[in-house]
Amino acid sequence: MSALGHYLEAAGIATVCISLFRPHSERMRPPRTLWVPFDLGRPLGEPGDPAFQRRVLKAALQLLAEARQPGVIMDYDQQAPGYADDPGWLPPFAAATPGTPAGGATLRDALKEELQALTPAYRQAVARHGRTTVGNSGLPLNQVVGFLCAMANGELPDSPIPGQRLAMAMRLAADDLKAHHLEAAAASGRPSSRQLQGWFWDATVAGQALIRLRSSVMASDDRLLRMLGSGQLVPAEHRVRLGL
Amino acid sequence: MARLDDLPPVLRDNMLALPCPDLSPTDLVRPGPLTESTVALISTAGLSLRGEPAFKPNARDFRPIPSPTADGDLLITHVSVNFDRTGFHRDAEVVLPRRRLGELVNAGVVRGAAETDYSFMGATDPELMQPHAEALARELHSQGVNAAVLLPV
Repeated sequence: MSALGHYLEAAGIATVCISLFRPHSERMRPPRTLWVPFDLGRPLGEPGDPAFQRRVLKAALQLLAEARQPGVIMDYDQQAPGYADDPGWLPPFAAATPGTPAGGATLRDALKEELQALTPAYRQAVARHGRTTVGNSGLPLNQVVGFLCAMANGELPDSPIPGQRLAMAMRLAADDLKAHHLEAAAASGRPSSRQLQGWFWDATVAGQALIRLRSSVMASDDRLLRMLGSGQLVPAEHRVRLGL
Repeated sequence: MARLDDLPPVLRDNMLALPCPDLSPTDLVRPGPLTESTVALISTAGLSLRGEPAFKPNARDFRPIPSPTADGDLLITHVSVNFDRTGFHRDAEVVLPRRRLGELVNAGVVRGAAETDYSFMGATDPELMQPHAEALARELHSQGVNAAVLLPV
């Protein structure tokens, strides 16, 4: 993004970059940078807090207008309130949770059961936020489940998404599965990103399915499948934590 | 989380190891007062419109996001899984603050917001994005935009 700032400025557009990773801004010195201390993925800091977001945006715009030297980096020091965990948040599974298929249930059956169990919470989340971000694959969720479980079991089906290679279809379907579960888990309370991700990778069949899927495709002869499976299914932090 | 010490070590180390091109300082464009500026938002979150093809790995192109686009039609198809998307799940403004910018226009802080905002998928060699950035600049000029806020992922 810093490079974009350089290129656009050189083409006559005044730019200010909001930066979430200061070392890159220090190295690349785009024209103007507002460094913010927020989670990666949250450049305006706090979802659902218009006043907080306006202050951040206004600070960036003021830097745009007032900077006198190229390469300036200004630090925005106010942390987003949602960075902290919500001590009152309860994950959707209140009691014993499938984490792995039990009693001989297949992965597909267990995942379908989990989807069903999450339906009320998912609907509540969609109503609360007015939208869903499920849709990267364009597939119905039951088809996402069947497709990913087949691959997790070592099969290599045809890509179910017209015009997309199998590896890309896998990644997009995985995006949808994660989005569904994480939206459902945030239907109430204000869980932090850490709480949500911890729940997903530690306590859900979906998380276990994607871990199994990763293991399966990393043994594939398909280079793109191996590449996407290796790095674009399970976040690096959780790969290390889980010893994958 | 984006304070260095707060990042998971593996993520911090991976990001520190990413190559950064050596770019000379760029002379500043003087935008004039904000009250005379029209501002566009440019994201590198890999924002696609629902129903469009996803950004491909190493994509260098940008996608337009016309102002009537509903939040429900914005999807993140970025290749990386190492940034939080749960903020976006709850509120698209945390990634692309179109309404926030509109509120600052209404408050008289800036003159106007662009009719179209844009998204790149930032996980590619930055130098390969240069021709696309220059094409975007031409589009921004044609819209009467003279300033842009660049938003990372």
